[in-house]
Amino acid sequence: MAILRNGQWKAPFWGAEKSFITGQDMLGMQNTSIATYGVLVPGLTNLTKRIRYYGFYTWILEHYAKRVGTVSVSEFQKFIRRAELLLAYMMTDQFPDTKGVVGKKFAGSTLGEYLLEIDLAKGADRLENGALYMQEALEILQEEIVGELQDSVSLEDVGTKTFQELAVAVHATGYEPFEEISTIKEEGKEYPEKAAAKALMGLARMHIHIDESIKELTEYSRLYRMDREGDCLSFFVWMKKHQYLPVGEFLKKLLLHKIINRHLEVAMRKMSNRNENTLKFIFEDNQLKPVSTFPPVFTTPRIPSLHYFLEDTGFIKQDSRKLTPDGTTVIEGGIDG
Amino acid sequence: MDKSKRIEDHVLSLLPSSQFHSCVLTTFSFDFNFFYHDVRSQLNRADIINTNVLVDDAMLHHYLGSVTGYAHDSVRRFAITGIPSNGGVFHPKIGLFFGDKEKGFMIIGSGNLTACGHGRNQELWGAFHIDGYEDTKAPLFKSAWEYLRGFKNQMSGISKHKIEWIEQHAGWVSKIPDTSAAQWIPIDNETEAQLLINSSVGIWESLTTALEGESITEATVISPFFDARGTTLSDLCTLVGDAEVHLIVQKDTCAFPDLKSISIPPNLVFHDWATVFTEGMERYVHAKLLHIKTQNKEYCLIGSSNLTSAGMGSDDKSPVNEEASILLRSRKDILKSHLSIKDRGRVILLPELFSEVKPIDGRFSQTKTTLRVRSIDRYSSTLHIYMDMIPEATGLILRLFDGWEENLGDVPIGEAEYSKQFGCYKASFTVDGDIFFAQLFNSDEGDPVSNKAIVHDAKALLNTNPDPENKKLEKAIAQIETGQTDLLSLLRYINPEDIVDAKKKQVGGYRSNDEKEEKSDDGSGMVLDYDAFTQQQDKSADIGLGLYSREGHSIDRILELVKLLLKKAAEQAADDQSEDEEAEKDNVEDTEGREDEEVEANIKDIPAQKPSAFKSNQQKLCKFFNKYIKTQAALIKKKVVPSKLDHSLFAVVLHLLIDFYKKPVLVLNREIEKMRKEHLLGSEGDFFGKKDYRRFLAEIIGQHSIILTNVQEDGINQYECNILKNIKESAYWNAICAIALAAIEPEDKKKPRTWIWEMFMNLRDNCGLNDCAVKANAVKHLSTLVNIVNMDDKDTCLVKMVDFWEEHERLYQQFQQTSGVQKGIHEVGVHVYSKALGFCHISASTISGSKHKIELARPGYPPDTEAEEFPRRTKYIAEMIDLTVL
Repeated sequence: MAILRNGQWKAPFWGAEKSFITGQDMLGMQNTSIATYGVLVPGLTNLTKRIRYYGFYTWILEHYAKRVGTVSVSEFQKFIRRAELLLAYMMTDQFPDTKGVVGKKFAGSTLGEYLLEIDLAKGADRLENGALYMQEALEILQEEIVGELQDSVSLEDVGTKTFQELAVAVHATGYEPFEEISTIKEEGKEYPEKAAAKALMGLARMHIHIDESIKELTEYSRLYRMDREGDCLSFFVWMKKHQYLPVGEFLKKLLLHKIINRHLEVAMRKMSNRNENTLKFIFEDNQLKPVSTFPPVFTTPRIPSLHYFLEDTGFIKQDSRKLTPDGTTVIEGGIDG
Repeated sequence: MDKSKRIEDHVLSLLPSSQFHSCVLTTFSFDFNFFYHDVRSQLNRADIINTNVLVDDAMLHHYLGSVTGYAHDSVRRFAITGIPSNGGVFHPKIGLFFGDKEKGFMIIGSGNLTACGHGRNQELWGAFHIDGYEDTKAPLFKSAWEYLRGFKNQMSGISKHKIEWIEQHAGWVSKIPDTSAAQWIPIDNETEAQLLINSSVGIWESLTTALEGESITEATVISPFFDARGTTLSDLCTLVGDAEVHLIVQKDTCAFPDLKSISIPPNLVFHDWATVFTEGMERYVHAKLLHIKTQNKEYCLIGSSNLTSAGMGSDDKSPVNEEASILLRSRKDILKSHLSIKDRGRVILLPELFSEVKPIDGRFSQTKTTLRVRSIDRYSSTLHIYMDMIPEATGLILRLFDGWEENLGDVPIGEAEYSKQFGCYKASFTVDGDIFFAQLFNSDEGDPVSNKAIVHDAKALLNTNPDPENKKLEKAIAQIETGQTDLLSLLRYINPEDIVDAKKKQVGGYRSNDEKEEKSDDGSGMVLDYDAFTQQQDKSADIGLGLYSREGHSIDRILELVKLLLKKAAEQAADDQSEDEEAEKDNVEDTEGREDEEVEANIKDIPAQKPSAFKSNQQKLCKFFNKYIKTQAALIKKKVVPSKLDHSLFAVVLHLLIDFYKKPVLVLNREIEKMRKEHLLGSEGDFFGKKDYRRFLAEIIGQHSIILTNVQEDGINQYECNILKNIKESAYWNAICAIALAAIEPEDKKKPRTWIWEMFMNLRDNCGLNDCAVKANAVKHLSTLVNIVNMDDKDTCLVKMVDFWEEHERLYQQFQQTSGVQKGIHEVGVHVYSKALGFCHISASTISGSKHKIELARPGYPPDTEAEEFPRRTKYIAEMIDLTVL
């Protein structure tokens, strides 16, 4: 009885649960990344990290048409998946250090079992229940460049300063926030205050860095449809608006506006649109109750694909990721050069 | 215990659709975001347009400015009122739903109007559908209504009126027989119920009265809170005599009394919640239950009240909270089986249970302020501040805040007029931004001296009147907003002829200057606020229900809707993109069939129509645009001053043009027995085709730019000016988008470039906007509008639209630099500017006698299909007329 009508009643009964899911993008910021890399690195996907696949698939499709030709979606899928896995075995055997190969993890873990004979069907075909054997974990390549923390600026020192003054002070130290991201993530587990201080310094540095370009960037992002409600540019505008608040006040407002309110809004909107409860914390009865934690993540998965593509095409060096002579020629002569 | 046997439901999902128009919801905690995104859609489904939420005042006070940053929309259509409770808290969780056909619905339970109360916590509920005033359960509904109606005395202004509308539009409730206190109301053959509230008699006392003469054999209790000394629990243990009281406790969350300060009654047995319910029971237990078994009956008390003396009272203490619970009585042991607590789990030792308990007290303390603002309504630029008159108000200011608690401005109360009749101060204000709430301060730099009160937009709330006619429009709007239907269904509510037809005129409608004066003489043309209007009703009875039930014209409401749709389209576009990419991440190697699935999904999203319906809809659409064109022609003829309503209607019509242009519809092609993609509003590049987008565009924009040449009103104050400016801005950019859509798709028929140029230049010249030359503004507006454009490649479309705007804006700026009138004979086809017609071209040139005569043409004048022109039927002597050749 889903609906009560015609004088029906029901009592007592328990309130049903709305499922809480491990939702990503808890502050609705990922849209910005997606929109941005969609424009800046169009045509790439984090599914296909190696440019060779584009050649491989066209070749295998032609091969299928010539040699197999069965008009059956399931047969076709089976064929493609087996071909992918075969390539994965070959790559794992011959080039074990090469990343971005579909199914490589599975191939690596099972290669030892098939010393004489490889059963592609066992690895590639779908199970009856729809489950998959081969599941490559995303191996996001992220170089960890750990810089030295600029101890000359800390939260204690700036207790009386405005955020803007803090920003100027941090800027003067040459503090590089991007170098601290992985440190913040790790350090936050044990020393949350230190991590918070670094994060705040990072914001301060970015504030100065981007201040003069906000207007121009906003127009650019709108024109190319990268702008999103709650995106980083609107965040920088927000920082500019509140920059003359004392750091403590600024931090309080930041948490309230950009974390608590923002998360509640995004989670509720998702609940409304997709009937999924992605709340990471709950606000009720004067308390914030945690549901699950959310560490910072890298939100531009196409960048690894881009790196691999440029490696494969010989425009950057595999080890150092520096331009090759061909890469330099392209840069100097423009894309058509 | 097997969880699957428990009876569980999302309580609001039990509401049937289309039976109700109004509701009153009460809560202690409130989540604005949850309410707006989740509860609102449930209310929309039930067709409820008049929603009233009563919240604990102290809680509301603390929410305002701290968790209301994104909540502005949630107070636009709903009245949210803080209810103070003297010494206690306002704690009931009741929902009453009212229909006009003797349908009612009541929910009562333990869950607040928060995401936790409706989906996260363990809560207990009861839900009752009332089918007419003779329904045996109806007295229960009436008792609850009488209880909630009692809070009307603490309400004022529009919030109070919204409660009164329920009385007007659910008159059947008064026919329900009255019941006395402690009277059992049969709800079926085996079960009876009483609504228990804290009035002159507390819930505990009512309960003990109900149990008089019964021989209690067992009691089961669930309560997340107890009072410090466990008074009520102790009294319960005494009440049951030799029977046992089984207390089910969730470790670490239950606020149990300090064990050192109480003595545990010997008949009290503790149970661990986790062993009573074994699966998925880690959710916070917020339910309140008192189940009592007697020799041949069972009693079950559920609702808002915890087992505390504040909540329900005790043998020697009166309760202080506002609470509402329902006491059920059954002859068989069925109520408890609904709860699935037959097995109460193992008996546990006290230290094990309570060693780590940290009591949670979620209550905010009452704000200690000297003044109480009951409510604040906003009528345009006037605030009605409902409160008692202050003998000395000099220096007192009302500070206005947005949802983020940013100070938007101060209103000196000393300068405000106090209306004893309505019990409020009336103060004018001028601020930019969305006012969310306000609070009194003793001076500019002084301390707050009152509670915080939400500032309700009275005009918006007046449109939530459950009057049947109004409800139809609101229902259509709600359905469009939630994607259940498209904008086509709105057309019946937009009748352009209303605007020129004085007899059908409503508030905010078009008036020529002459008519305005006539109306002012008898006073009936004045725009009154709700309070003032209701006082005038007898005199103005002939104005009818339209004015009474709606504030402003329906066009205003529809413009509000289309703006909201733009916002939603942008959100949707962002979410879709995000979902695609997240899907990729989750299924890295799941590549098969992607293209096929996308194509199918695209088709699936297109609505299908029967050929006859498609044809009818197409006719409806064309008829609507033609009617609008006819209306505009009448306005041109009358040389009217364009009103706010004209601009609003223009903006809406342009939005519809953009939305319907090339909107795909699947229509069954009977010849080939397949669905074929068609457009309700297409274009073959024909500016004279009767059903062509370009023809509507040329006439609508051309005519409107002529209307704009008349002197325009600015509005009577800053607030009105800002509103008008926003509407004009929407209208302008809608028009630019619509023109750009025609321009970026090249076609060779006739003279498209000339007409497009003329449309742009004339509109630009007469729009009266200061910042429409700024590229950032163009990008901002067009990037929003592109989300409703029916083009596959929206990215390219936007770039092309901006390029179009930039090129034409440059041409306009060039014209601004041009000087010099060039009298003389010019060739046919030459682009010119004349004061009389604006930007146009020479469409004909004839020699009559010794005189050389020319004709000028531009969109906006009636089309001449044969000549393929929009000529003004006036012949000018070439040597006499002032022209600037461009």
